[in-house]
Amino acid sequence: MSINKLFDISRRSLLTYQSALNATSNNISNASNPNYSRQRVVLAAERPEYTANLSFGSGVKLDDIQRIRDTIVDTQIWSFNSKHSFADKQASTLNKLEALLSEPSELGLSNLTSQFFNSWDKLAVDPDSTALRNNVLNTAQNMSGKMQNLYESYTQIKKDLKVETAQSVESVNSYLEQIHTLNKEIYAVKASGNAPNDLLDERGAIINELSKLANLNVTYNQDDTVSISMGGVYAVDRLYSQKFIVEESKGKLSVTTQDGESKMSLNSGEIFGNLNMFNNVIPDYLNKIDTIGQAIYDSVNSVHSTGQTNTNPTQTGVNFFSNYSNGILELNEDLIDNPSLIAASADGQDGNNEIALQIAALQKALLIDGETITNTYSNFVNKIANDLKTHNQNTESYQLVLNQLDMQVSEASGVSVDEEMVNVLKFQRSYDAAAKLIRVADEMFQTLLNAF
Amino acid sequence: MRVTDRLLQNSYLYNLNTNKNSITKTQEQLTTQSKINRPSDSPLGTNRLLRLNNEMQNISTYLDNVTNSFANVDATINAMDGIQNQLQSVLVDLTSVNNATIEGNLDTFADQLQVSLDSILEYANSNFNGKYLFGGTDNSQAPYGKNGTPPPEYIQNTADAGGQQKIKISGNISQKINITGEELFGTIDGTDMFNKLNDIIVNLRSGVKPDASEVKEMEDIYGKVLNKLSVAGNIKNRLLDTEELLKTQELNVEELISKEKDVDMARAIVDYENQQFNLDLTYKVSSMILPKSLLDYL
Repeated sequence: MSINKLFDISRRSLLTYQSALNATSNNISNASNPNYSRQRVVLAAERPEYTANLSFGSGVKLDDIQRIRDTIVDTQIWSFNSKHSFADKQASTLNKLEALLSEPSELGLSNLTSQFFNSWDKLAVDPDSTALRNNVLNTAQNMSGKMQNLYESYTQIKKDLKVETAQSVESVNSYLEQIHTLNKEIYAVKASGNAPNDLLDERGAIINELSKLANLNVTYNQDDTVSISMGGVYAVDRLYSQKFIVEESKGKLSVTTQDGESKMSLNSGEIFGNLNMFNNVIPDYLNKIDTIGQAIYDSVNSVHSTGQTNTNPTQTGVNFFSNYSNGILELNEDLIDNPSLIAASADGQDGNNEIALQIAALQKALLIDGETITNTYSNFVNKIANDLKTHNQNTESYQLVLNQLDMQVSEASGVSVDEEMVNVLKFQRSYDAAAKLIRVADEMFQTLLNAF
Repeated sequence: MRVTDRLLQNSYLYNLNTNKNSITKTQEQLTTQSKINRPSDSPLGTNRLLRLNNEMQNISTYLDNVTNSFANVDATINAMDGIQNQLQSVLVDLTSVNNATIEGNLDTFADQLQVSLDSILEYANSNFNGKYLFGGTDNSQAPYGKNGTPPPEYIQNTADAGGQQKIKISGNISQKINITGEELFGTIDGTDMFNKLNDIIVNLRSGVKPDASEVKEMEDIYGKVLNKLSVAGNIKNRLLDTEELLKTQELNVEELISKEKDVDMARAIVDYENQQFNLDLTYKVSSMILPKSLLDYL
């Protein structure tokens, strides 16, 4: 037991509290870093010195700098991230689809179809009138224009989704590679006995982003490296990282490994949202529009061709629409040039309006699976509206859950500036006290020296 | 619970966003005055709206049809009125001829009757808006004329004067709005109005007075015209009633549409003010809490 011990203890204190202040300043500077988990300084007593019947403590040592992170909450966050992105992405695509409908305004297909059939009713009052005939042609052009617009825009959105999916898969590949690199670095740091805190934070942030794209399954290995599988396909671990590509076969998209061996079977996440839209939802909508267009084409033509035109001599067997395919209802060009070719009459007399009345009555006819055209279209709009509403509500509810989880993470791993400032004061005072002790020890030493 | 700066900030931002979302929605409703601006605002409401709009369109068309037909029906009634007047003066003339006390030149009577016959032919071929009123649905030429070669001298020019002109005045109802030549004048084969009258005129010119059976036939013909005149009147009344009905229906549908779509302005404005107040409050409270930390007091 000597004065040296006093110096020793004080020296150790100074160093310890200096390091503690370093850790605290690290926390403070990262206070607004969203991916940072706070690091807590763990002080412990140094091994005491055992003499004959007394044990003298030897001061303080910095035992550990702990990274405070709840991995269970992390796993939950990743799961809800993918569910939230799944609902959100579909909602945003459906938003675009819904906006194109222009319902329930006058510009929507419902109103235009109604106007087309009603124009035949108006023609029936005065079948001779050129003005009314031109009106029929006009409304027909409006209706087919809107239908074509709708069909083509939906097809375009579908194509855009394919490009988007390819980009997302590229991001996935890049994230997987980053995680792979970090895995290796973490392993190296751990092997040399240190705690790779910042690397773990960085990896956590990347897995967070990845989880938004597709649903993950994360397993922590003994050596702090992480193994991830996406959609049932092994994606990355310490030794290996997978590359994925987007494949289209029979008009359906899927994500597979680069060698084409395994296919991802996803159930949530942004990529799955896009795949669902591309493979199921949009083709279904296109099909419905197609059915409506086909029904109008078939029914109007079949009635119109039995009618007699207003020309001299009268003709029969004239088609109103010349062609229908892929949402494009083509009007017979001859009619536009010569409106008298519209066959409103059943028996050739120019005052007869039976064909016009029959075509007008098609609006109420059960043409598609026992439903009228108006009802079928109405159901179609209803479906889009309901789907969008559901996805919007899901997005909101998942967001609330994520908010709660985020609060839990903040609670455990967030930095509270007040708390750190208190720590700073604490460590600073201890540092001051230790410094004072050294001075006291020095004075005592001086006294001893000066005594001789 | 350990409260960190991050928690405070995120919580504040989320609540601010929620507030702003509700303000945006109320703003949209106030400016468009419509609760339903896109189908997803209310899928059920949109469904109803589409159906109601469709009905509105249809009622509009039917009203149009009815209004446009009034002119036709009026012209028909006027023409038939004219024919009826002429037939009346024909009957008066016939009675005078057979009245033994009046001695006059049979030729004068013949001339008067000829004038009436020509008038009736004129009316029978009336043309309104490019259509022959009594020609059925055939508007290619005047339906009745004098061929000149007897008998019979008067013939029907067009093949078929019986075409009915119907217009749609409701979902399942088509209304006939013309009186066809066939139902008014019958088949032109010598026993019809024109030829009978012509026969009487020819006889008068050769000095033969019409006998009782011929006068009776003209009276029958007159009765038939009166009958058809009342039918035309009925058509006009039917159209008028339908017009009233359709206008009422139009109002009803408009009201239903308004119930679905319109915003209760008073309520929306109160909501808006409330939300603005909330927004202000959020700003104020956060500005008091967020910037503070221990550093301010050290």
